Amino acid sequence: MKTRLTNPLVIGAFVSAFVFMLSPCAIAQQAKEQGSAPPYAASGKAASKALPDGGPAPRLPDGHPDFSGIWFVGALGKEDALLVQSAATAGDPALKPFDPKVTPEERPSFQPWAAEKVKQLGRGPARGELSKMTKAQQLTAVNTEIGRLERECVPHGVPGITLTGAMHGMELVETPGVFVQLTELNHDYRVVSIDGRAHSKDPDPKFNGESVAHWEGDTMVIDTIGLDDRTWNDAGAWIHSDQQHVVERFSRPSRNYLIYQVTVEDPKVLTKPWVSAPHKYSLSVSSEPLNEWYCGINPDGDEEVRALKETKKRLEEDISKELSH
Amino acid sequence: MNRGFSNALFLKAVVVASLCLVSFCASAQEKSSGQEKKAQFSTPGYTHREPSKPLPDGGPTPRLADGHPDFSGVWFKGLLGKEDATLVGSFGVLDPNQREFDPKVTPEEKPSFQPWAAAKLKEQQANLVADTRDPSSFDKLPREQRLAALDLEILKLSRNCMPHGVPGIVLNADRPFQFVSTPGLFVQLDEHNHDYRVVMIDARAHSKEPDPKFNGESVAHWDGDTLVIDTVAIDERVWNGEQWQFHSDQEHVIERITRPSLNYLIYQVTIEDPKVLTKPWTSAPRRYSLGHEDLLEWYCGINGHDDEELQALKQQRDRLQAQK
Repeated sequence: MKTRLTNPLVIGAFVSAFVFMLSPCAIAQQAKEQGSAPPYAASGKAASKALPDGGPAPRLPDGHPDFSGIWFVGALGKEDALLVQSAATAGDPALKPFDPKVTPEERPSFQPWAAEKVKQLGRGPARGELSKMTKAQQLTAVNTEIGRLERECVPHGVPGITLTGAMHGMELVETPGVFVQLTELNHDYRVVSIDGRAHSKDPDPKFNGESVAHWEGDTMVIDTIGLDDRTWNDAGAWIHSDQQHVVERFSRPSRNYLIYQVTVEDPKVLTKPWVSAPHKYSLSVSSEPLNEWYCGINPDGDEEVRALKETKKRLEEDISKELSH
Repeated sequence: MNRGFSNALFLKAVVVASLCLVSFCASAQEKSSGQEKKAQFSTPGYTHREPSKPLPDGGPTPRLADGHPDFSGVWFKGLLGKEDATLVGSFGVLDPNQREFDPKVTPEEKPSFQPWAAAKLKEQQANLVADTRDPSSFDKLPREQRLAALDLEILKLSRNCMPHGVPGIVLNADRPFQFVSTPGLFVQLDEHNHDYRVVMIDARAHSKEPDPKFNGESVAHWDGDTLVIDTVAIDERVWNGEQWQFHSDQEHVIERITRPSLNYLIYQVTIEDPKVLTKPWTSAPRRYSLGHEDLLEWYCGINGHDDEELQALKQQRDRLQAQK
């Protein structure tokens, strides 16, 4: 438990931070803080070192690569507590899933209606932005945040379980014919049988959909349909339809590295299929298990939502008062 | 999808069904259908059924490359290798072949609680019987008892997503679970609440002062063909069972898992808790049988309705508290 943070407390802390951001005193304070450098640059750390390849990929008795192990985003084989939450967007390049200069990744190409909705549901304002907003804009931001908080326990689904769910590490367990993915975030899991079965004719929607899998040489290909349309494909509110079709490709080029690439087809939401860059994961350098991070067990979470709803009510009253003047 | 339910909606259905079962109208209904003679079991839907048939042993125990038994598979309580949807939520009125053990053959002692713990449990049970949903009887109870009953109901509801912990992840797994064994690793996936735990079988010792976790800190070793999992540091919010709603930070759990044949798994657990029990408790050997269907998705905490029910109960309590 040296490096990482413990379960629901973390969520609580982020939520409180957001609520704090919204309070009037915090807005004043933020205005002062704006000039300071991001935490990574300020930490004065030496550049991190990517793991060596570590030798050949281990194999199962049936000859296929064995993906079993605990995996972290990037090339360090661990997560850096200083960088949690910022790794995906800033900070150490060795903690990124790919280098956009080497393997650029296009943004999903949304149909116009979907682009509008994604924007609406997407990330709230950046730190400090709120103080510059009108009350009506603040209200929109609060609504967005309520929506996001209420989704905290909604499963990430496929491919979200990897694209979002693996942000604090994932454990893969493989036996001949069975692939299990466990994530620290939300204590989620999925099980995929690699047994040559075909898709059902009309599968019931599930958060993790209906997956079938096969081997293409040393690459495991998971093909998923029947996805519950409540899931988001990424943390940026990438909504999808019941027509979504996901093809994931896992390979382990060497002992210490895992490569994950995903293609998403969704004729109702996208204008063309989206193909990710090859995302890199590295084998944990420690023998520590994943932390326990259960969702939905912390009544404080609910209270934060209620607090935000009160802020919302206040803003609405202010706005209607202003209008009546 | 033979069992055919999908996630949260199903949960709701079970809750509604069980409420209906305990309500007056349902008990009246049960009586009338119970009058049909020759019913095998007193459960609705169970009249005129053929007795169920336990699975055969199915052949030898599968083994891993390292020679140890392989526990991998989806496991159901009892001897049938499946669950019977007509029985879900029927409060333990089970086909005897769906029970984990037969108390006549392998009796199981009740946990021996210290006097203070026994008193606390007795009080909780008394409050549990007070039906907060039936105003005609509930409103006649003394105010203090109504408050206590509401508090308990609120606690239970707000615990819906609480992990079952160890050994609850097995003992309280109302639904099937899946085991995955690889050399050196044991994984348990629960359908109920979509929970999991991972145990390494690598001869590591317990840490000197482990942080409490819902699934505690587990170390494991093989004792012949039996996997022995030794767990300490279990978060005190975990309940070992509906009748065993607290334990101390001193709790020590020893689980023993074997697979005597292809189709059967045996699970036995010993609980030591010097602050709560007067002596260690050992379960009967519990039987699970191999199924051939995938686990369903049953996530917790994603259904807004539960939250509304909880809010309503809290309001009821607050109103009562405000009354003088």
